[in-house]
Amino acid sequence: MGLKKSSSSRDINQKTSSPSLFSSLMKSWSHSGHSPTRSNSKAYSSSTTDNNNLGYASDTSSNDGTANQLTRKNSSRSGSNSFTNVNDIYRMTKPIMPTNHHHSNNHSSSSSILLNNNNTNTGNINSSTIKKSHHKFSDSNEDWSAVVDDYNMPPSMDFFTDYLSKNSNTNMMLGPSPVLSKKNSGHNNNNNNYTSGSSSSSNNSNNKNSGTITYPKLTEHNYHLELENERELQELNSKLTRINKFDQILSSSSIISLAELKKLSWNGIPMGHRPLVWKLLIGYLPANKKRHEILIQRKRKEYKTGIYHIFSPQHTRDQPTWHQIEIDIPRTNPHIKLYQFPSVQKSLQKILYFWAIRHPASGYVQGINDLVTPFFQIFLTSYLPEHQKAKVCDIDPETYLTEENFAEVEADSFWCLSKFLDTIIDNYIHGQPGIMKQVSNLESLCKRIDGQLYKHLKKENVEFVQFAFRWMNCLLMREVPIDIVIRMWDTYLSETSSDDNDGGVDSAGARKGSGSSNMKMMMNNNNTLSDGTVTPNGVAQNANDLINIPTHANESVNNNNNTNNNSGSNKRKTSLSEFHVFVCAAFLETWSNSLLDMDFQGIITFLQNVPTANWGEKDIEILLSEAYMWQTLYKDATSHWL
Amino acid sequence: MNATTNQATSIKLVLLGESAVGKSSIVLRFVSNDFAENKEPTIGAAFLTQRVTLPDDTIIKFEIWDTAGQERFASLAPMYYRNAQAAVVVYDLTSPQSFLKARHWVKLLREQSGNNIIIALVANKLDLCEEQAQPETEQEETEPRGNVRKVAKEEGQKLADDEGLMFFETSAKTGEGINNVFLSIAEKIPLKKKGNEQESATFNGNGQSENSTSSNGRIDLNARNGSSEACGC
Ligand SMILES: Nc1nc2c(ncn2[C@@H]2O[C@H](COP(=O)(O)OP(=O)(O)OP(=O)(O)O)[C@@H](O)[C@H]2O)c(=O)[nH]1
Ligand SMILES: [Mg+2]
Repeated sequence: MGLKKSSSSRDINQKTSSPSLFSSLMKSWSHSGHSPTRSNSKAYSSSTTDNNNLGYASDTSSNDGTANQLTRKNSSRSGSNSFTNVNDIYRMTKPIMPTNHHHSNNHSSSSSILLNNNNTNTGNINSSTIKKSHHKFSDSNEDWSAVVDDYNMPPSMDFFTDYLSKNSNTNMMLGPSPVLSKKNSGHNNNNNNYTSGSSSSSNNSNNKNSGTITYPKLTEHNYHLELENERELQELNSKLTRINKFDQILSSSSIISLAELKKLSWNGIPMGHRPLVWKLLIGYLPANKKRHEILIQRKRKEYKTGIYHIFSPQHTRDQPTWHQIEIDIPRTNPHIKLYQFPSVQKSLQKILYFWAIRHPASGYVQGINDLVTPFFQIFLTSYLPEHQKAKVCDIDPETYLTEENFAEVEADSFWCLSKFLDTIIDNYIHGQPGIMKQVSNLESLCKRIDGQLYKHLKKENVEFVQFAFRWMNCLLMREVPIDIVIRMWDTYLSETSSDDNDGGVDSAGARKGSGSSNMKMMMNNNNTLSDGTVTPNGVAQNANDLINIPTHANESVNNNNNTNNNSGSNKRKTSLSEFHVFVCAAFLETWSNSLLDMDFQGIITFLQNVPTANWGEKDIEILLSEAYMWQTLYKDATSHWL
Repeated sequence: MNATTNQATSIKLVLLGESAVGKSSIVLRFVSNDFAENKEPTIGAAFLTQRVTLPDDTIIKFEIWDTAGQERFASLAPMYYRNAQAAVVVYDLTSPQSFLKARHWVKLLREQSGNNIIIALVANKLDLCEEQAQPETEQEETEPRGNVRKVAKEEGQKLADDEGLMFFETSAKTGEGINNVFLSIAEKIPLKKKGNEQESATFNGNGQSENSTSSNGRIDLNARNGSSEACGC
């Protein structure tokens, strides 16, 4: 962490040399919605207070999704992010900020008004503003370019410093309090006491959690003392709260709001919800819950039939492919017990072989064996009781899965892997152009973000491909522990999820289908996954996508087009390869200071064995936030990438 | 490193060969005197270094690029062998397919680099060879005990003779023959010789490494496991 910290601050200092850059940095940082993740507490917990109350209430109030989308639109156009910044920073630095509950039907409009006033910095912040700002993170996800343009009030450097020091997990600095006290006095009626017990009365003065703890009024000098305990408590509470929020979204109506789900998932998905949420985000399951059962049965049957076929005598085995996979299976996650069990190895062999022969343009490429494991592992957890889910890596699935269950896990993993790889198939076709492109994008990004490091690498004759090839080919799975990868994928799947699934057109898949390497048989898959339901937003989006399909051979072009805001603010999509480059840039940046002292050998050796063994979720969350920030800042500059 | 760094002559070396023949295992054995039963496939390429002190106090620093074996990654290989002074082309003596691939690499290298590059052909996984009944060979695994050798030593030797390669049979698992590969290469590299022909036996048999713990980056010459005397199976 020391490394990380110093490198960030150095980086910031560089940034500040250019005022405009600095201001946009601040803006993007704060509005990124990921800034909460930089707090000591977990992503969820950083926004604990508002989650517990406002966040939850408002989220649940918007079952239909329409209100939220409206809100999103309003807020993202309000250009009020400077304030958001401040709030976020406060929120992070003061986890026990009062959580006034402002739940009302016109929540969205009122909050956007407040936000519009932000630039005047009247101090007229109330909890709804805070809550809103939280929303705004993800909101601005979709609309960030507008936000960047509108930004006009750089926060003071103090915020930044505080923010950074907090980020580094060392001593947390206290944000200015006047605004907070204002907040405290804000209106706070309309508490939606949530039934699960994680709710709290929302007055700052008696913010009770689980009915047992009363948060003391916050003052600067007791703040540090209270922090530790409170943080733990908040972490717990926020976890509970998040679980409840996911429950709510997933059960609230027959059509799941994927936009809501996406927003929430960006900051991490609770273990118990992951299997379902991943399937939804990736478009394996549609938003319409009524169709889940039918579709999943169909897909599982399809898989079974396919497997039956490729293991029947009619099928001539592709020996080289089979052999390569066979060799790689025991070499997959060799340090994790789960992957040593023959039952698991058998399943993975089937999934990978089936995938390979269905994708002859790429075939099986090493690294794909890594990419299947998060899906497999997560889908296994569906079959484990709550208290054992975390131990999925230690238990032989044969002890808790029937043969039928195995087939289910395999099928789900197979289809999700297929969806996932569809978006990055260029990484694995001949010549691996997708990876080459990403590597060169990373290089130009590094040049912009950290010229000093870039020059040093060049001086030492380090080629980016020498260390970054694997980062792209395995999506950093070789660089960070599997738990961290899984947390990372929450964000990846959320960031790149197509809201169009709301409308039932599996556009991501369809787009890919028009790409060079896809087989016709996969198109069939895409169609069967589609779901006929349409939301108002969905209609427009689908129309767009349908138009895009024939004209664009790859999704990245599509992605750029999606920056138009007309068809709903949740329109924006990021391509996986694009976002991943930003994550890699942030990853590289993390070690910048150390690298500057190294020669060629040191650099390459270091970057091949990056010390992430002890990383926790917050480390990856910092990285993801940074990636989001870079993406926001450099999106325009990089629009020609794709 | 230490002061002797300055005197080091570096040898740029690349490992080529089909996937899973044991390239990474060979390097791991050479660099860390270690073996891992299941190593993750190499993606792209991995860079490692190892220093060797020869009896005449010459220090050789190997700068090794261990490439990925899968065909899909082959387009990266030129970047790694382009500037290499030495190449180790590895095949798995239980896999004729991998021997074919080795031929291919040798041909390619000769085309690309002519005779400027020193090539060592290495038949790996000698421990799987049943007749290989050397006392120090640890066969604790439940390896297939049948005759798994599929590429005769003569075949490898012939290719080596035809193409002017050095030839070795090794086991990364037991360590047999591994150091010999690298030391023989070090011997052959012209610039390292300061006009002084070194007998291979000098550092083979009783050569002293000035610092023989592999943990600090020096190879232990005494750790050499026999030579590449192979079984005739
Ligand atoms: N029995 C035996 N197994 C070996 C030997 N060398 C390597 N292996 C095994 O062969 C498998 C592949 O070894 P690697 O070193 O990863 O092969 P590689 O050539 O680097 O493979 P790629 O990175 O995919 O190109 C591993 O499971 C090793 O444990 C050996 O000398 N004897
Ligand atoms: Mg390897």
